[in-house]
Amino acid sequence: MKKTITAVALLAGSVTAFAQGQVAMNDYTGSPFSIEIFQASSVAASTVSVTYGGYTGFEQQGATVNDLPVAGSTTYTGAPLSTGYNIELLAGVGSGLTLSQLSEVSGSEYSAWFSGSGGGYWNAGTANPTIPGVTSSTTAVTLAIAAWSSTYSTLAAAEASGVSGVWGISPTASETIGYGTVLPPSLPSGITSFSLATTVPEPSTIALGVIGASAFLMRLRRKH
Amino acid sequence: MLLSALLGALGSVSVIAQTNVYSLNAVGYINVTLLPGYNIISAPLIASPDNTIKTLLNNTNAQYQSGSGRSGQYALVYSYVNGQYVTDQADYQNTPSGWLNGGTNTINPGQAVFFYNPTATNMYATFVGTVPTGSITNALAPGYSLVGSVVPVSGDILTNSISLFTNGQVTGSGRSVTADEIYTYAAGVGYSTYQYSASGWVLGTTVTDPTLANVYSGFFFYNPFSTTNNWVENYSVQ
Repeated sequence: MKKTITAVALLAGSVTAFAQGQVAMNDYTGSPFSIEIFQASSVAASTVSVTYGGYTGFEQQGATVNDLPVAGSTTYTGAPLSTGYNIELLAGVGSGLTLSQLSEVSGSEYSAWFSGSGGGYWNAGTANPTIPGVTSSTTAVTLAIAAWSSTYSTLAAAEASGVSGVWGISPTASETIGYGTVLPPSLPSGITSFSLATTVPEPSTIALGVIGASAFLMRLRRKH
Repeated sequence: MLLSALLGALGSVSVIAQTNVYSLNAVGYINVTLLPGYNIISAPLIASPDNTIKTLLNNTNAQYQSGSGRSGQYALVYSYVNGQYVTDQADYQNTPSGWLNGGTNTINPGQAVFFYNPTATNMYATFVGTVPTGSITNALAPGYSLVGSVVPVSGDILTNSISLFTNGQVTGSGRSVTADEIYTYAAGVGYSTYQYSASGWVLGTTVTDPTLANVYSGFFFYNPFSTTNNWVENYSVQ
């Protein structure tokens, strides 16, 4: 009787697991994985033209995975990211990890972007970054994508700047990473489109501002 | 089944008249069918000018893609280099190779790659070149190797009369066994795993030798030991 290791996952494309701690980083083309990243700046909500599978239509920016027109999709008001932004893979060995448990994956930083209707999609070519610590074909990892302005040399520098809208991180998602005979999978579908973070002032900062403004107004009233 | 008719072997004789030196080479071609989905393929010929992907699988006429742009479907080639996959993608607009990364990775005799056909129909290739001759050793290093025969043979890889690939390794027994493994692959089906034992190669519970479906079929070899396992093949033109 033949002992056959089914390759259902493999044949399903690159959605599921495959190879030696590697994951395919391609977005937009040649992959079932497809997300957009947007700036945080607030402008009028807009639509983008999308051609996919021979169908041309319109959708609100930042639709969900695979990017076909989807009812109820999130509307992002920022422009799609393009030249001037970097992306990087964050990963941790284990399923369902929190963002604080993930680390930047060495060699997974990319700065090329598709243009035109591909705006907001990064172009990592055919890269398969290696995720450290994967030792078997049943090892699961948790992944996320970080994006930041290339004004800052690293994600950490962008975060530390305290400037609003210069960095952002996708939702996290887990998948089983292959090893040896198993090919690199696409990024998991749980990683969805996102926009750069808007820095919200701390409540204490807001309170101080209110106190300051009140004092200023009282001084004005006294003068009059 | 060895050096089958697929080779269309034209025996090419080159003569250096002044010295009466004769060189007899087996030159031929292999027709390769790339089924929808994943295929492990090897190229057991010495092609000209080289055995790179751009030579063997030239895509300048978009032969390995369907459509273009975002709606296109693109073939992928996964080479296995130092235990890591390196991917190239068909892209006819990327001249002169027709491959996104230049098609510079090789499929030399003895090597194999994964070819992903993203369409629902077969793709095809024709490999043209010289059959390697003499005693050739394919060194199977510790860990996984994605390999094929260095000469165009199919069927039983141990008893094809030109292979000396009988030196599998095994230690221990039962659940604690450590042994060489061979993973053959069939598109649309998946892997079949052979493990070496004191009785020979075993598929499931049956003692049977690994077989290759085509002369261009490749497979994974897993060497769990710290020393290299040599696969020696010996072919000479008759």
